[in-house]
Amino acid sequence: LKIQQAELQRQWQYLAEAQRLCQSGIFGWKVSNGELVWSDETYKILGFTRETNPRIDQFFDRIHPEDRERLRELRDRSAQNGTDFDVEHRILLPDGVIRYVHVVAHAGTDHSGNREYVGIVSDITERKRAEDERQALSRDLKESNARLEEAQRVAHVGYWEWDLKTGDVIWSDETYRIFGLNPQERRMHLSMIREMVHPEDREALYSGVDVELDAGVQPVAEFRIVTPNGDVRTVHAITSRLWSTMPADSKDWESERPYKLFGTVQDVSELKRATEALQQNQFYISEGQRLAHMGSWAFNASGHYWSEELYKIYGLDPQDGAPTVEQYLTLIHPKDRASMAETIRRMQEEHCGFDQIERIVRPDGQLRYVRAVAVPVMEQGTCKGFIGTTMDVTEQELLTQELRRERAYLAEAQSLTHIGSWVTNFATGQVLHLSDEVYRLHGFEPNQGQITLERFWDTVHPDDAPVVKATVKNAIDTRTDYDVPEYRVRLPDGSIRFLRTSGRPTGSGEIGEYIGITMDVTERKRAEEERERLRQLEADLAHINRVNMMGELAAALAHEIKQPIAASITSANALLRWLAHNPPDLERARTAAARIEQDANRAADVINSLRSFYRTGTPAERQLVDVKEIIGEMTVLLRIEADRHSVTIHRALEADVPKVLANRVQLQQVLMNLMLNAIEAMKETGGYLTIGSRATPEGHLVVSISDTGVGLPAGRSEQIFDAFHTTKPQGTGMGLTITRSIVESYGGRVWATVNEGAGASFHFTLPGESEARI
Amino acid sequence: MKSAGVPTVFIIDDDRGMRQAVQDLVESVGLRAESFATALEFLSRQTPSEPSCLVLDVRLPQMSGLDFQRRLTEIG
Repeated sequence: LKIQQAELQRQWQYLAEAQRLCQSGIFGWKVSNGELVWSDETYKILGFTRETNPRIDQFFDRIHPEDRERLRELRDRSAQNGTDFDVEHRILLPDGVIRYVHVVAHAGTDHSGNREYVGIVSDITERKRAEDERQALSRDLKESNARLEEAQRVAHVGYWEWDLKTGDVIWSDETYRIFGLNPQERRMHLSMIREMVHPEDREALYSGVDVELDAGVQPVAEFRIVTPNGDVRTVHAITSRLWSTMPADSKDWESERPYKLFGTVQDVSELKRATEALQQNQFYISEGQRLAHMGSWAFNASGHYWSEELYKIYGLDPQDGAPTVEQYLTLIHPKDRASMAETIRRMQEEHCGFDQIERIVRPDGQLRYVRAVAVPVMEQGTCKGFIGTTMDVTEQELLTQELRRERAYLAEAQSLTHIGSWVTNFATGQVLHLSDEVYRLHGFEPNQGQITLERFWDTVHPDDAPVVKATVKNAIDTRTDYDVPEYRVRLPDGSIRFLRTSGRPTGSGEIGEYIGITMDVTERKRAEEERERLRQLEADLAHINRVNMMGELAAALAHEIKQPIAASITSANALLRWLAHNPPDLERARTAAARIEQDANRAADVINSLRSFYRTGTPAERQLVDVKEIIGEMTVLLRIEADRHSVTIHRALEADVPKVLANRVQLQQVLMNLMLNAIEAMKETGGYLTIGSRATPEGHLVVSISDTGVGLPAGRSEQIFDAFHTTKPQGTGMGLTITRSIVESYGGRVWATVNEGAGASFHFTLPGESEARI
Repeated sequence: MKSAGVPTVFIIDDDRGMRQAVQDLVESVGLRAESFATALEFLSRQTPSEPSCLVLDVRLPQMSGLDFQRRLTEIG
């Protein structure tokens, strides 16, 4: 028994040791009286001292309040039914520590047949904590996986794995999506993936990746893929090797080799498209700037940006970066520099934008005009910087300046010539253009602003307005030009101005739209009147001259008339005698009568040729005359006068001289003046008067009257043509002046030369018939 | 032209109309007449010894009537 007791003791100790090791205690529970039997380990687990005589109530007190009700139900059920139970619950120790316990019990009966339970209570606190941690970990993992998935989806980045040992390919959901598939819709094979790579990129991709992997480089590739529905996408892939994670000391040969390839794949189609679009946009912008000669700039806290074209405009090198304000000011033309500095100061201090044209001088000395525009960038009321553009407007500016100059010249020319220009629509009354001169011509101030057509009409003289309006209206109706050569306007001071206006339809096709000029013809009108007055005066003088000449010739002319009359009287006596013969000699009488008629006519001719000389007023119209004929007449008239002074008249007339278009009396007057002068020059000495005529190669007529007289006053061959210059005691000094004015009125010329031997010659030219001015 | 007993009247005048009129008048009264345009022409044609009547124009070209009269007196 002792040995048995010792053996039992030993076994008991083993059991106790085993209980300690697995943190499990044994218990017994007599349902009938609620008595409990605990092993040492059970005491320890439930937190009671060995001295305690445990009862079921005390045990329940130790159960965590939240689990207590559940356990009571279990106890009552078990006490009633006698079923086994297996339950986990918490206990709350007096020091606040919570412990998890696992209770397993088997129902049986004691020797007296009472129900009792025998079971094990295990402390599972550690296990429970580890499990919680594992669950938390698993939850975290799930969450982070979800986030990763989301991140991949958002960033269009997927990943893939390729198990080199098994050949399995695993794709993330996003990788499927990138390749145009539904996530995890099927298992992927290498061959399938290869097929989806764009044919043009396939070879380069695979050979490249292999080469780089062998060289130990992480391959980065960009290539195109074709999705099942035909979309082409550009993806960016990074590949890396995954090495076996087996412990280093395991002698597994596989640990020396990569066992997986891992990689990411990113859909960069959008990015690529956006980048390309951006590049395209930038190209358009820079190209646009280049074409427009416009550069742009930005100036803010992060720095100073200049576009490429801006550097070009200023002749700067982009490599040197944007200039500082001081450097920039040195580029401005000295005359514009101060104002630009002020503009920049205001911009910086008062945040004002600006828009101005300034001159710059490029480093190579070239002068350019630029239009600079700047605007402040405001954000919530504060100035964050400035942006602006600068445009090279040199060509436009020079053109504008030239235009301004031309306009000024034109205005000056209009003001000098008193010609104004205008464009107006007579139908609508719209005035489209009015030069300053038009204002002035009508008595308005140029700066008094737009004036209606009606006000212009009001200035026209009431007597002339209907005619002008009718002319304009008729032109509009027939869409033709018009010209009103003369009409009057009344100026504010009451004076009258004569204007001429002409217009022509503009090319616009608008009915009634005319462009035209208006000019001041007042001066011309006055000049015309003055000319007419002078012409009358000249005619009067010419008449006086003729009358004077007749006076000088009176004696000679009297003889010239008396002679044929005397001859006629003598012939008449003879005629009477021939009739008195017995029988009357009719033959001789007829001859005498014929002679009478002839001589009487001769006298009448002389008188006739003189009569026109005495006539006053404007000379008659011009006609074609043969100058030789007039020279003949003058020679006859002057013969007696020439004889009186022992002057012999010679005629040296070329047969073939042109006729001239002239007034007979004026031509007679010219010849008579020059011939009388020649006779006068030889009055004391007698001599020869030679009158010649010839034609010039140009077809003009030249008449020369030479004398052998006293010649010309030395050095005064021009002065003799001046009015009132005379060498004769009784002369009026008008002869040569009138001669010259007559010759010049025909477009001819008169001049005097000194002869080689003695005397002087006077010459005059007249345009031949074809060139004569009428 | 010459016939005895009828005297000849010589006419010197540069005006042809006047010359012819005077010659015609002289002839109408039955006398003989000869006319010359100038005195020199007359002198070159006529011998001064022949007695005659002379109608002379005072104003003549080259030699005036008065000069001619003086010249005739010289000749006798």
